[in-house]
Amino acid sequence: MSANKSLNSNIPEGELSDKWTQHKFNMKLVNPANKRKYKVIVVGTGLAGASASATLSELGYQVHTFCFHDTPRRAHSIAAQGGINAAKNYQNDGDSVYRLFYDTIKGGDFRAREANVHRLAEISVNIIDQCVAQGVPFAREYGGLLDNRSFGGAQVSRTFYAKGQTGQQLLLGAYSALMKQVNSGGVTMYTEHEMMDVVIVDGKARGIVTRNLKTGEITSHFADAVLLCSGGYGNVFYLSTNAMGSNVTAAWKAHKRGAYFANPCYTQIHPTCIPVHGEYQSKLTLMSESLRNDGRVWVPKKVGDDRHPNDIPEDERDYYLERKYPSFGNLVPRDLASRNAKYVCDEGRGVGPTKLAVYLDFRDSIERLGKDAIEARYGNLFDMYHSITDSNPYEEPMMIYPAVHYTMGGLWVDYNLMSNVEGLFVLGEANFSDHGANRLGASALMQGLADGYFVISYTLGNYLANVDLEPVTVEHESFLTAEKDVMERIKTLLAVRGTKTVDEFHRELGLLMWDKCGMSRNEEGLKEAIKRIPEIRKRFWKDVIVTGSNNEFNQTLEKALRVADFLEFAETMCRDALERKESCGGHFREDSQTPEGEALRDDESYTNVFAWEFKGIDNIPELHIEELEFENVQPSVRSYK
Amino acid sequence: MFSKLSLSLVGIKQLVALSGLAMVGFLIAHLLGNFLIFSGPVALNSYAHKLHSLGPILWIMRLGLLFMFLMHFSLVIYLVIVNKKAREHSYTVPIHKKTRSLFTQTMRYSGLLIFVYIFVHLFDFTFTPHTADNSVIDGVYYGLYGHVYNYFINPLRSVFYIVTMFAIGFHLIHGVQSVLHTFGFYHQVYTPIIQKISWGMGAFVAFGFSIIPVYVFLHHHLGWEIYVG
Amino acid sequence: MKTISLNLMVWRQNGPDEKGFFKTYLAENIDTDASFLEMLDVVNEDLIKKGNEPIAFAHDCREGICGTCGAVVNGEAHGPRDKVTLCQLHMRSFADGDTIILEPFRARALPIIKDLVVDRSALDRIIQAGGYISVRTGSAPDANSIPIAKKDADQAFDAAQCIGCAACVAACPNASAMLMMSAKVSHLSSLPQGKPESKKRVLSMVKQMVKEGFGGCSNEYQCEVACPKGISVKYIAQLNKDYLFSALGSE
Repeated sequence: MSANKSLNSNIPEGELSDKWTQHKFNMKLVNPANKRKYKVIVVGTGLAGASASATLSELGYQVHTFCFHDTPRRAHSIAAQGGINAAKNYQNDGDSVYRLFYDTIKGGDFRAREANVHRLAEISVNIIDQCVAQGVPFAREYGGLLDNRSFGGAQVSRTFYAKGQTGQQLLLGAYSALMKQVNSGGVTMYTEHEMMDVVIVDGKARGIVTRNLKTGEITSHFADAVLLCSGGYGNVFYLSTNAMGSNVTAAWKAHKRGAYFANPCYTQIHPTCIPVHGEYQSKLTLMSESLRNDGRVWVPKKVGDDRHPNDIPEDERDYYLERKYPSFGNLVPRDLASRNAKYVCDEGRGVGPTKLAVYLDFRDSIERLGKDAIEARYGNLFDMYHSITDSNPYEEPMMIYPAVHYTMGGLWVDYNLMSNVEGLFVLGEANFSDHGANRLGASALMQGLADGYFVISYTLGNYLANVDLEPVTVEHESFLTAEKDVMERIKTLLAVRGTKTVDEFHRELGLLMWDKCGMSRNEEGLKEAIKRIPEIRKRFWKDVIVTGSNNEFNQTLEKALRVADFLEFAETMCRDALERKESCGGHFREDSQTPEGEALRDDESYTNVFAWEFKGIDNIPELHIEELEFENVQPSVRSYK
Repeated sequence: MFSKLSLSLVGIKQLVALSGLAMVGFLIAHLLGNFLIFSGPVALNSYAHKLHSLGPILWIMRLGLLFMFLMHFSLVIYLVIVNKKAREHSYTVPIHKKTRSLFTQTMRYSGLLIFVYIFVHLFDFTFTPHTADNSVIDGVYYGLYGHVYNYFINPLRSVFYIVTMFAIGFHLIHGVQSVLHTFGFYHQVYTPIIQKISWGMGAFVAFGFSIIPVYVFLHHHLGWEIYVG
Repeated sequence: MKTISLNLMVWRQNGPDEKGFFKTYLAENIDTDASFLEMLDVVNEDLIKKGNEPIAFAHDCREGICGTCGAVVNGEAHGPRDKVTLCQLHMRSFADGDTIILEPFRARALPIIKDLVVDRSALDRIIQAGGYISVRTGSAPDANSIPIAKKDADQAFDAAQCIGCAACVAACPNASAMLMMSAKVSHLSSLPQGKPESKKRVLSMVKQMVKEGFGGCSNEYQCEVACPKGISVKYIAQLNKDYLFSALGSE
């Protein structure tokens, strides 16, 4: 375990609640007339990227924004359903900045930085103001004021929402702000451009290389700073609730150029998704967790009980969550609900055609409350389920299974959201910073927008005001080398002309990751994965088929390039999971549990962040450690018995 | 203001709606006037006479109507061209065939038929004087009444006339409610009612005009007396 | 598990200026629980394995919210089911042996990039022309300082649900973007925050739509039928009204 100078988290001095205010004052400003001389590249247009682009452009920077979609509005932030937290305390129910901070730290299983999380809680209130001013149509009460709901087990109602489409409305708000800046000329927008590499000059991030997805053209773009807002890596599991295009490429390329990857093993698995039903399946659909308020989770007691669920008598059903956690029952946190579903399926008691599902039964609730009451609460979810599965949840139990949903890990950043590579900032899900080992519901949207609207606007200025940047152009050697590397990789891929499709490799990797580095992990499994991933990777480069050429719209090539990066990244992810021998949040190690089978944290050894430094593809990455200090909150043990 | 309106498709459409609405008003007045045929030649002819005696006012009205007609027609032609151009390559399977209404789909054809018929109509009645050749029934000269009567004794003419009147009806079933939509009126309760009114107006105009040749046909063949009052 | 086999007639076109043509494929043993796009995945896997070019189609979230997917299936944008995107259309909507004719969204303003993929950047430019409220980050007042009647907020939300998929353009006999544009205009103008810019917004967005080469509205309401989010044509009426008053009222 080495101590590395670059792993200074740059947390400001002072009282927790004053740190951000004081830091904002202490930071240097860029003269308004000088801002337009700086060029900033933003990669990604989700909540973080769109909000950062708009905000920086309003401040006067020249912003160049890139996304691989046909329009910035497609980013996967759009799919977030539940809501966004903010410590507004409009409900007068005892919420405060400190409480939101505390809940987030605790929810993150004490693996996040206090200072970052407190800042997030402080900023949360401004986000709501900003979004309302942009015209985001949040739900309202009859009096015309904003409505809130309680979400994800929080004891206060602090979640703002727009039906089940909060992410969509927030993203469209940020997108409209971005479009306004494109119109005014402040932002140059590059759609259908995928970032292929980050370019480092004199140790500082000075640009990127992109591939135009319509023409295949490889182009370099220089800048004074680069912001990665490229989202999470859940698709390393092949099946996840992420969009098909979500990928690790931008983050991974930055990692290969020197940025540390922090806590990659922290993945959040959502317990109530529609199960896999066939090998052709491309994606998993999430259903709101609120279903567990009235649904009872069960599987048959007998292994291989193939009867229709309605024919299985009460005493042959195992309501395993109620049995194991009598006080919380079906409402145990996400990770417990997910893990236990896996256990019963591992025992062979799973249901449905694939045997990888459990029942979520509303029979008793319908009897108790009436069908109308259930319909009023969950009507749209039931309809969605019915439409996807062709099974009527009013008449037979739903089938659910956990699915990968969010990744807490990401590129390591300091308090200023700058990675260990100077001038390379990372925002939103792509960084590791605020959620620790587990993210609370309705916090992802909050973090993306906080980073983009209210953090980067200050910290980027401070960086630019303090740094001496040599003028560069795309003729610089580093750009030329990066372009050449990209071209090489593409050429090699196209030349393979093997026998297996990209999806076949991706599926193989995904299954392995799900099995060995999914809901429940152990040393042996991780070691096996670390052995097998390079084998799959080697076969991929020898036997993949990529049709077509580079100089055209080529979706197979796009996919192949992304999967190639997942195949490298997955190994690091497993190494991280192997190295962290404790269980915490989204990372459950079977070798670290209480006698009752609960997750057992090891605060003594692991109150820290693992940040990995790339050392070459077939080499073991070097581990750097950032110790986490808890000055305001004392780590405590969760119990849901 | 006008230049701004006419600049865009939305403004043009609103001018089309405005002129359409004006012509609907004319049609209703025309139809009510036509109904005087049931009251016999005196009523109808004196109504026509009164109209003609308006002199310059009649000409202002006629010019206004002509202007509306030309505006409606030329702007529609423009819109059709722009709208056609917006989809250069058409679909192989006709798009949304199941859900498009017949009246809406046939707007341009019904419009075209009406356009042609207006000239026929003007030639037949406005520019052809009521002479002894065309306006005498059983040896008696009945002026306009006789002219109309004789005109519709010819079944071919009557059929063409009725077809055209139904084209107008079709045109209005879409047109009337479309006008309101184009001017921005939409209401959860009233819009469906307006759609019914649209239907009603279309039917009223189609049947209202068509009843005249039918009346003449029956009158002639059943040998009814001409009511002279 | 029930499976069906289908004949696909798919529009293939190599680029915006290339000539397109229909090509026939056999989609065999398709699980009726699969989505339409998963069916295309299966066909494509087979094509790739044989070394052929797969069918290009746009897609991303596959849960009906990102607005990326879309094609015309047997003459219907997003296929035969109401209020779903292509990714949420399941194969149980088809019968064994059916022939499916698959065409891209067609409009001059949405040039074909490849096969079923079209370029929808024109819609972005319409939004750029005014589909926003000009508020600088940091300058917003407290969120509850302006109460908004629940009815207005709900109306704004209904309009704001547009996913920008362009099915309305595809289904419109005139390839007009009125529904998409009017949804944005109505969303913003029904909120007090959006009022100050509402006149300028509607005029410049309409102008941009015309400039992009979309057609006009002829009140056929096919857009509403095709819209996967069920956005009502009442927003077009709203736009018409806003436009009329803005044009009459402008200097």
